[in-house]
Amino acid sequence: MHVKYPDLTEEEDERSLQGWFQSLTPEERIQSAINLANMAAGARRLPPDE
Amino acid sequence: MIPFHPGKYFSALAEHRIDFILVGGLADAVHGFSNATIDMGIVVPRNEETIGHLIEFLRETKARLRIPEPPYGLDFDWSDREFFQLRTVVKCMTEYGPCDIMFAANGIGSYEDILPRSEIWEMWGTEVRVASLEAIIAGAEASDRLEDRPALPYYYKMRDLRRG
Repeated sequence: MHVKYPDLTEEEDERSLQGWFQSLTPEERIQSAINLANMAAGARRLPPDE
Repeated sequence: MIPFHPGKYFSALAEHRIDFILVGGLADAVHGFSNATIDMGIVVPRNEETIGHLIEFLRETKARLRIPEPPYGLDFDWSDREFFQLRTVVKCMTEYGPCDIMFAANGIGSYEDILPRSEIWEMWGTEVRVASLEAIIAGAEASDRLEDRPALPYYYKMRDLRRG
């Protein structure tokens, strides 16, 4: 089936992100937030020549 | 559905040999600004090799077009290379969550433009190229989008902190 690519407005884009997040279970939402926090906490900047 | 996991994204992108620079809310989070959104924003170079790798990545991560209504994704045939030559942004929903694949980012330009203003960070054992704080600030100032304005004072504060 041919699907035309939709150009989302910023409002539609936000709605798609929020809608997807709300479609997760509470446990999945919490785990998503934990994964994100782990990324920020564990990120280590490498020196330019490493 | 599985929870959003940036690390799985980074591994999949590396496995598919996709050169990318992390931008947007996740880049903010790496730099210490907690305004992160749960979506992956990456800028990639627009060339035939990258487009080929992207097509494989999108297929293997079961990517669908992102739409604003349930189920928030539609099946899409990613095989058309011309599609990637014509778009600036491809908004999709992969099995790891939402992703914006950009050939140019608001205010900071193409992959080649951002590359000299990017840094390598290690996350979950994967080396990830991230837009520098200076590039993020320059982008927010240049694009002057309403949604970026509240973040600017925090960006400046982070820059001051980093400079000591």
